[in-house]
Amino acid sequence: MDLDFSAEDELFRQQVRQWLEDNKPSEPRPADGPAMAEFDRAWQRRQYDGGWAGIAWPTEYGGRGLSTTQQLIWHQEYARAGAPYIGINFVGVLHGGPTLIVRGSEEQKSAHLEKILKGEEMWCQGFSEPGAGSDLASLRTRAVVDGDHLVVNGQKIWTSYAQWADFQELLVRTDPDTAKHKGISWVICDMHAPGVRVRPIPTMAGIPEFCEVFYDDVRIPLSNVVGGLNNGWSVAMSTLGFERGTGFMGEQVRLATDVDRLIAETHRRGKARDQGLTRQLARLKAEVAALQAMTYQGISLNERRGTPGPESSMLRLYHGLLAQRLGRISMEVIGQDALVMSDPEEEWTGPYLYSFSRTIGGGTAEIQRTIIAERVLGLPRAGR
Amino acid sequence: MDLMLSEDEEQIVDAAKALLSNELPVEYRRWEKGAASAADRAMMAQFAELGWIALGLPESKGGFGFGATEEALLFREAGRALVTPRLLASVVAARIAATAGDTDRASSLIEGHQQAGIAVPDGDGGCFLIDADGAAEMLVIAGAGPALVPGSGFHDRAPVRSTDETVHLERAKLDSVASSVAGDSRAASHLSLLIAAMLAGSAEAVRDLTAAHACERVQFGQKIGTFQAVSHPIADMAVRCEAALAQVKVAAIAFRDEREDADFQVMAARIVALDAALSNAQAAVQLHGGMGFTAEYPVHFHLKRAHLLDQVGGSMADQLDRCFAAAVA
Repeated sequence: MDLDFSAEDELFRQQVRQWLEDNKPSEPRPADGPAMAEFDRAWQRRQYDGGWAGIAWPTEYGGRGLSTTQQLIWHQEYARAGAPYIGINFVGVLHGGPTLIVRGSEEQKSAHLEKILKGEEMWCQGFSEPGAGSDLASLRTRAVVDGDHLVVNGQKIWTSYAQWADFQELLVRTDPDTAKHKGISWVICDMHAPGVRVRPIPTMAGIPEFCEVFYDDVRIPLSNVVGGLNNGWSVAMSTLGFERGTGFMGEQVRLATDVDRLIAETHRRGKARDQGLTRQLARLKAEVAALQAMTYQGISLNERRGTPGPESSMLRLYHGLLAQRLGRISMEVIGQDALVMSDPEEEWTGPYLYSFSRTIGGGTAEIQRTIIAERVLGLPRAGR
Repeated sequence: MDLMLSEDEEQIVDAAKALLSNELPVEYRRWEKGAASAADRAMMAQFAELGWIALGLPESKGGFGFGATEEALLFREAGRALVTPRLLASVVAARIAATAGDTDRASSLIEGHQQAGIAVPDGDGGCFLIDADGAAEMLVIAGAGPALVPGSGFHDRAPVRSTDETVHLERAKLDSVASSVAGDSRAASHLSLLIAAMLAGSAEAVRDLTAAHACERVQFGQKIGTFQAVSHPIADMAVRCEAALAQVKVAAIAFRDEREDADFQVMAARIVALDAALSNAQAAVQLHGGMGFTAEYPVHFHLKRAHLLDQVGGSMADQLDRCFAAAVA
């Protein structure tokens, strides 16, 4: 066991650090609206032009083809530089694109991958439905084959940034007469197609990130089905593997800088003598160190085994709970300033309120615990 | 950067695990005869023979040339098996003696001729002695860090009923004239690292007991592990174990390589591992129901040992205060 990065990795770190220093946007990321979308697009494009887009993607699809360790270094330097949240590029860059890379046809790859990396194509996720959240496989959005098209009717919900998206990773039921996991297809839905209607849903964190999406006789070419008709559940598992495995690495790494900023804030406000508070902060500091150690352990396992396993659910759960505790302690630190709402990326009320989503999105804490119980510990499958 | 075990590390862990689970199973009968840690003490000579006392010392100091990582992995197994704190005391004492150049005392500990107990302040001018009866050496945990004192250097020794009934406990006063060998600046961190490793192992042991119980125990016609009210707290136990073990590994490497942040990483390991050990033991008692509350079922031994280790070398509150101070620096 060791903590040393290779000379090659250290050189890489220097390059990343330098590039981010020279290129990260100097203005803050707008919290919302077309200005935010434009900001995210431009920042993605600048990363592409600099040769830093898709650091985990294979080089043949325009990525950097970097090791998981180098991805970690990228995220560490990204957090250190205070570079902006990935925003509306999250789905395309971190799990939609990667899903196409492993499961898509050559035609699908060449149609989308480069555009995603260039910030020319925004993606969103169409998995959850009003009646299918944790029980995702019970989804009911119907797609009927009509010639060389699918005709889609139904509704999706909790779709982040749907109002800015050009395409969607959409799960539809293509065979209603078989077992619920077997009749699902993963399709690329053009968000500008006739019959697609998006309604933003405000969130408790104050930003209209969420949406619901309605489909009214939306025609999608059969050539947009990824991984084969009625084979969508396994494709969706690939998507969730990317989302849960490495998709949140950046945010996990960022928590370390958040706790240091909160400790500095505590000093600035003259509260470092409040032992009740400082002991909570010390515990947080220790646990964030453990979070980083878990990240290292996950990467070590990943480098040996090749793919993230169910252990990533432990990291995800630990991070979510820790981020929430940090948020709550931050309210204690800032006192009456908790009365003032901040943007989600700015200190401290916005991030605190946003932290409530961290044990819900990408699989709730309850679902993560079930995965850990059954797939890490081998407990008997729940009757549910 | 790699937190997976090397082949050497795997071998040490496997050998230790096999020996301890055969010879020192965590079962009521190991301690029921009233002689605290008698079975463990009988094993101390064998531990010495296996080289466990000097595992982390360089060969030039009578050791085996492994490092703190191998040692931490060994103590994780010792924590799982609730091995007497004498092993902990003897390893830390041997390092102190060897580092101070007291070769005779070091080698008699390393070779297993002598053993060390632990002395911690009792808050009243005296100290508590842990598994110290008949021990030739004593690891004294004072404000500045651990020091080595002859076992004979105490007076007014009187046995006290121990909360952790797997160890022998006394009250005593330290002779003012007792000759001591002070630990070096890394001795306190060494002690805390091994304690953190033991706590992580203990947390894993109760997780495994509870998971096994949930796979066997049937109520309402089902294995209770199918109920989320049972399986989810066990998943939380697993997460705490994962965090504690990962942080112990990082701390061990940082200590071994004398990295700048070694002291902080060790403190963090101790804080996270103590929380894992105590929280897991508490959940384990609850999830075993009435069985968990009996003396005959071994979960309570883990709970009590975690509280005991918390009192050796700075309790949770001290660790947190130091950790906050270090975070500022």
